[in-house]
Amino acid sequence: MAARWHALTDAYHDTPLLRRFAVLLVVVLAFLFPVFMGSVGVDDATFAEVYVLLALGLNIVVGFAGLLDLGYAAFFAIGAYTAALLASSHFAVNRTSFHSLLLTVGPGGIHVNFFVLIPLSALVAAFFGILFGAPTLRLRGDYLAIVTLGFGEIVPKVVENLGDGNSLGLPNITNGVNSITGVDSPPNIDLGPIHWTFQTNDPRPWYYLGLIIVIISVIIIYRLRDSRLGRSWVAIREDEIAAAHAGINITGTRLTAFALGAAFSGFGGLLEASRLANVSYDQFLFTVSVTILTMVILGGIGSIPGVIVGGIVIAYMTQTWLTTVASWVHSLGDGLHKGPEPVSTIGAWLQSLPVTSAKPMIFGIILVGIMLLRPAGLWPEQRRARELHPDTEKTLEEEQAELYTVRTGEI
Amino acid sequence: MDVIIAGLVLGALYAIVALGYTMVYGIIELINFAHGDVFTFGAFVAIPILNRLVNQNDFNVPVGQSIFAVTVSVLAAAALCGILGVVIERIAYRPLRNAPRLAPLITAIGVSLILENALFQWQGGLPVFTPVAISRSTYTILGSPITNVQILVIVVAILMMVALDLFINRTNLGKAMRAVAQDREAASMMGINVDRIIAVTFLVGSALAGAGAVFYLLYEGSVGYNSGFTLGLFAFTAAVLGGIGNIRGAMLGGIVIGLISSWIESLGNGSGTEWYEPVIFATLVLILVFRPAGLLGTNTTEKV
Repeated sequence: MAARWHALTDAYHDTPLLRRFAVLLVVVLAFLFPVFMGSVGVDDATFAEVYVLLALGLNIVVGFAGLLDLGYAAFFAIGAYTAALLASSHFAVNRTSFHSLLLTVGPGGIHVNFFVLIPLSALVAAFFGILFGAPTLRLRGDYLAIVTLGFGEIVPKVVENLGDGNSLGLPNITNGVNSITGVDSPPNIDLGPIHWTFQTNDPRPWYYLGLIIVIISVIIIYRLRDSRLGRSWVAIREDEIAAAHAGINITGTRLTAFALGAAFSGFGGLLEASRLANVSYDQFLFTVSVTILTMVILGGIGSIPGVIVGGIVIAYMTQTWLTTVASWVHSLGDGLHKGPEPVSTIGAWLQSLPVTSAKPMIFGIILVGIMLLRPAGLWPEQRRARELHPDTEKTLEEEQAELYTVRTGEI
Repeated sequence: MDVIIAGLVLGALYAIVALGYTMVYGIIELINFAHGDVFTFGAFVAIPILNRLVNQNDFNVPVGQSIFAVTVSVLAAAALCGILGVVIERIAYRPLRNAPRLAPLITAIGVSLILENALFQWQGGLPVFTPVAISRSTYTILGSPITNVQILVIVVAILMMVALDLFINRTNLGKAMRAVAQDREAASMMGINVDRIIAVTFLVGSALAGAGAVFYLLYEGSVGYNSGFTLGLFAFTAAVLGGIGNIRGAMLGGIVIGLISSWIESLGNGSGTEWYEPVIFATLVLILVFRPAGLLGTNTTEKV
């Protein structure tokens, strides 16, 4: 434990002063954000936090391990349904109720404490990650893409089909097309100056809870990336055969990436389920997987700050910006429509331009455009950027100098 | 027997789409996610043509008119889809030929999103219906009814596959394609224009999808903007089942998947229609786990 702590403080001391300051500033601003914003703004920001969490998780799979997962929303769904089934009145148990701090069981349903659900939802999602991953991760990368796409289609379908009176004659497990409503909120928190009551009309406690989970996740993911495991992921991504010859267990290492990625999506699912207080199978369709993938690609594959920025940008785009842009374009069209002939045709065209429903097309353009023009993303990871544009004289010299110092131990 | 006939027809359609996947995968090892949407595009091209050439209120279309309308729409759909396929390859895949494996896969999914949304903007979110282009008549085979459209789909699919098989195995262009699939570098040293051959592969695969889409339309009567995507996934499953990269395997896989899905769909109390999608995907996973090379494929080691 002490060694771990030292590693963490060392990492802190190794960071340049300016960067340390920048990170601190961002965190402080993030905490002050609700003070300046109205409750709608904070609600959007909480939505963005959930998606940043998901993007960070997918980044482990796609960015670090280089596995294209097109069904990531499946794990989001699993996390959300774990929370919904274990913290709502859905499963009524016909016996005298049992009540404790962490767990309540009875005719009023199963209610597990939110703080127990945090590790639990991650564990369940990771379990399914292993279940899906174990048979398929032996496959080559592109087969994996299609298999995960398949899982992404199966999971919502199974949830949809296992409702009341389902055709297999099973009991009502997921409530099917009727969503599960009344998912528990986290318990109220009273710590000195902090009084958080989780209610639907006040988004601020949700925002802070999400922020804390995101910050902890970012720290964990940074530590993971620089660990032996994280370096194995990158090694496999870069050259599977070379990695195998260096003694890395390919399937096992990939499986940990898959399971850990799923675990973070489990957190996201829990947060989303309790924030919205209801879950439905159609919140987790293919579009969600694609949205998260676009965040990772836009920000920069493998780059943690990039993925955070990408997540925020795309989340805001889907929540508010598209509607705003649509109203701008349409009012511009209204103005031009009154003008003389060629202008008025353009105006009419702008009036009917379907900005909001073109979301998938915008995602598609981002995916294709980034891969063609700037494959390392908006905020590239340094190592990745070097891999994609190697061998200019200078970088080559730098790399060789680095190699030399490492070899002779002159750091 | 009804189930078998429906399965064969469905399987024939899957097989036509699977050919496009398997050809592209065979030659550049890329899952062309956009292929299913190219298929939908073909159907959407055919709809206005059929509307124009067939009297929409008349259920008794003269045979000559049917043949003319279907031929024109098949040619138009195949031509436009072929062009679309080549354009997609040129824009989204060719610049990434030497990039890491992940890059073209991501552009493939991006192109699929763009196409699907464009189709949605064009025709809206509801299924689009076609007029009856061929008046139905029903025959009986072994005690089960079979319509002339079903017979047509099966016959056309067989003809297409035979033609493609001859093209791949008997013509110079086909030989060049096989050479590029086997070893791109060596093929280019032998004077084969690799980029051109890859473009031809996309042209042929997409044109087949376009033609197949017209017959799908005739058989189903309607198509939605996202029909192609799901159908594409099933067709890909068929291609994997048959052994990806293997043309005859894709045909066999298509038929098998068609039979499986129509059999499951026929199961009682509605469980079939609810569960056939998960079952097909589960089939895909099982094949990949136990026999990744497919039914007709040979185990190949990954190229280094």
